[in-house]
Amino acid sequence: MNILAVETSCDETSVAIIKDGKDVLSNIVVSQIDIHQKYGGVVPEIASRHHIASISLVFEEAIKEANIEKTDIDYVAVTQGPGLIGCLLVGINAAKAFALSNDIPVVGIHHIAGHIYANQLVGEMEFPLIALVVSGGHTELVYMEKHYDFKKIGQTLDDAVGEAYDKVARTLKLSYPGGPVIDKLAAVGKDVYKLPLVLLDKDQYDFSFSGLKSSVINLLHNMNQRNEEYNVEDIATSFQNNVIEILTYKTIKAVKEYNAKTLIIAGGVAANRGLRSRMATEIEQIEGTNLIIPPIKYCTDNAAMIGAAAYYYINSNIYKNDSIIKGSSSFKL
Amino acid sequence: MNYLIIDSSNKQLYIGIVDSNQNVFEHVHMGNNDHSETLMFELERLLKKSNLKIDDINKIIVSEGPGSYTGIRIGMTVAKIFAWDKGIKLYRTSSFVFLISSFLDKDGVYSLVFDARRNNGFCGIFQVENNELKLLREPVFTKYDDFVNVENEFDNIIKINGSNDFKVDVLKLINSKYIYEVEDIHSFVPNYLRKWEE
Repeated sequence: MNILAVETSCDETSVAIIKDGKDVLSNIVVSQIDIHQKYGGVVPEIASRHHIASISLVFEEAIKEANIEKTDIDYVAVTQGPGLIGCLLVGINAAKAFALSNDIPVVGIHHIAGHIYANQLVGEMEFPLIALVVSGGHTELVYMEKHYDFKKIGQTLDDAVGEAYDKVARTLKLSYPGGPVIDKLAAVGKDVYKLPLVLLDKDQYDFSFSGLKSSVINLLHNMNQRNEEYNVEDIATSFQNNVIEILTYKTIKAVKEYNAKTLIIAGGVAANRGLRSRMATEIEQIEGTNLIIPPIKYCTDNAAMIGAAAYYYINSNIYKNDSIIKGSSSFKL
Repeated sequence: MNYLIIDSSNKQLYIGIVDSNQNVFEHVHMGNNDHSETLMFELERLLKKSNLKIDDINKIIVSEGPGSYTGIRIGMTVAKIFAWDKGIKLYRTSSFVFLISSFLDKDGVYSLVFDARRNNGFCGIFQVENNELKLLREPVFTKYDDFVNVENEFDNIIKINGSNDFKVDVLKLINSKYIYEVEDIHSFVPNYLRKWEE
């Protein structure tokens, strides 16, 4: 089964062709990072404008690179939400138009389901499974008993983890996105600044990052007022260590409680090297649990992951034919 | 020659099909932030009604704005994909041409306005004379209060607000001189009338 998948929920315009939910025949991604960098974050209207400027060309490239005929495409899949609504609607209308034009059914896919299924492109998900989804817009712990069966067990109550990275980076006058820069600096700094370890209710799986973020911003503000020098690497290490500690504590607790056979880390922050290595160390000590983290190209937003998720959605018992696909910024998993 | 005509730039969604016998099939309704859900659904119904497939369409005419940024993109995205996928000729026109299409044979000076929220509008002054449409004041994004001064420069001006429902005379529109072929489908983007980037 060949699926043409479309992802435009934020600042990447992407179209991919996926065979049987596993093989990536093509995965074209046009990133707008350079454009949004000068604003320190994604500007929704600018992102939407760039999507429409490249959408048809990205379709063309994806089909060309996959080296297949349009008649070989069995389904069209598109991110329905969550995401920036103006951005989502470009992808959704392009997908629906292509589906009608070629007489192919079209399905709407949840963005987080896509991030989770990115792992299926590189490994085999074994159930029960815990997924930690971490990006600029999401921080969620999801439990899965079988394919395409999601139970959200925890989420951030305020800032997403990637968002906290971006804001701390901006305060440190580092570039956007903040995650990769802070990750790099954290690798060479020392954990010398005392920051709060916000675990909320230790028995629950919800997260909070705004307190930690504000502590860093206040710390820097106070040092500036006192004309004290600070070491950027040490701030980065102190901040990142706390973030990783919080994520690891909750995730490992969930893995143990649900007897997970697989732990998946998904989303843009899954590219964080500090997080990857710490999780690997922790999972090694738990017998019977495998850790899967997708390569970085499948961690950030891409259409291949939407195609992978779509394959398992279409083969699940909740699949229904609904070609309306109402774009939704707060779409439920 | 079979035409597909789309304007999703403002509150009123317009979808039209004109077949080679000049039979007109159309769907017009006032939307409520739901053009994205309605457009393809109604388009599919019109195709069935007119007994045509996308492959039978020879020309697509789409509104390039001004109007709601998200709204314009919905219709234009669909038009771009069809045109690229099936190699159909794509034409662009202003949403003002849709608005004035049923007045193209009625001489007069017209103030045309689409709402842009917070007391702003996309506003222009046009003249119809001997079936010709002339631009008297270039359309701009402006405060309504400022635009009233511009309107006051003209006597007997006819004011049309495109944020309400309005009639589209699709035969006059497709036969008018105010549709322009899109040379490069891939790089075709809306005429927003308002910049967001330096």
